[in-house]
Amino acid sequence: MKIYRKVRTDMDIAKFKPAIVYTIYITSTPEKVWQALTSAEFSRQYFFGNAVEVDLRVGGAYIVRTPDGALHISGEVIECDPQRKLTVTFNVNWPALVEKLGPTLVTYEIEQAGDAVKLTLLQSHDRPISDDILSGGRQGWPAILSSLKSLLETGNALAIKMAPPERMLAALKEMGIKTP
Amino acid sequence: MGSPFALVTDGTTSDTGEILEADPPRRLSYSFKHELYAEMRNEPATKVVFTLEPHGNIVKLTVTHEGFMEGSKLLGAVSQGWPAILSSLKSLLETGHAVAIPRTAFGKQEFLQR
Repeated sequence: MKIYRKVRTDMDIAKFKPAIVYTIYITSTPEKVWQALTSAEFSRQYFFGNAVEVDLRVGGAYIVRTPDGALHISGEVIECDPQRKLTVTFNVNWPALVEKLGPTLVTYEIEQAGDAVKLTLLQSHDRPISDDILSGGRQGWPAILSSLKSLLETGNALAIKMAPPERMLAALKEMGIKTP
Repeated sequence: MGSPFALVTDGTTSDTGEILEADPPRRLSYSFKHELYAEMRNEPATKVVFTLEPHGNIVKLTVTHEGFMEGSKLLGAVSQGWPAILSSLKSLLETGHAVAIPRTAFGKQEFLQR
């Protein structure tokens, strides 16, 4: 097995500041948490039915597909330190979104904490982003992380149904970003 | 409303306050003042609000903690503490077992050593 511990150098990730940070403790192992974050089979269960497909090397593709197979998020791996840290660009595939908001970075940090695992999620941007836009992540991430925790601890994810927040959709529309 | 609130661990009271709102099982809030560590003991009382919303067979629990002074050390401490407490609460209710999180994981050791 190859171990990649590299950071992409042609993207200045120091410019990105975390706008959203969530920490959750899971009774599991770093191996299982890593697998859950990086496999379609797991992600379909806890990530609103979406499949994560990731080529786990720096510069590799990071893709999230909706349950019908459509490309929802496209990005690439920026940092990959298996079972410890994964940073990817996480760009929702809506027309003009990246152009207007800049790229989004998502980082997962995994640490052993006694018999549990401390998982920290950071959503970072290279410019100020309004609370209206951030309401999407603030609504979505707790649901995703809660469901991931339940899946790993009980074998069953949570069946959470939610629509994107109205305030986010309105703000995107105002910026000329089309949503499905 | 007005009843006392205290957080007691192994007989030691770390935080006190009083109930501000109690609307079971929807909403609970209390004032929250730290009492134990010197660097946080003189900070003003803050406010904690729990909101519970049913979503089918799931509950969405939202915790807000506000009213920190500029440069608050208590804010840093509770930011470490809440994720551990809420994670453990979720495991306890879903599996019958709390999460064994070492106190060092959420910063208490750091305060003890100063």
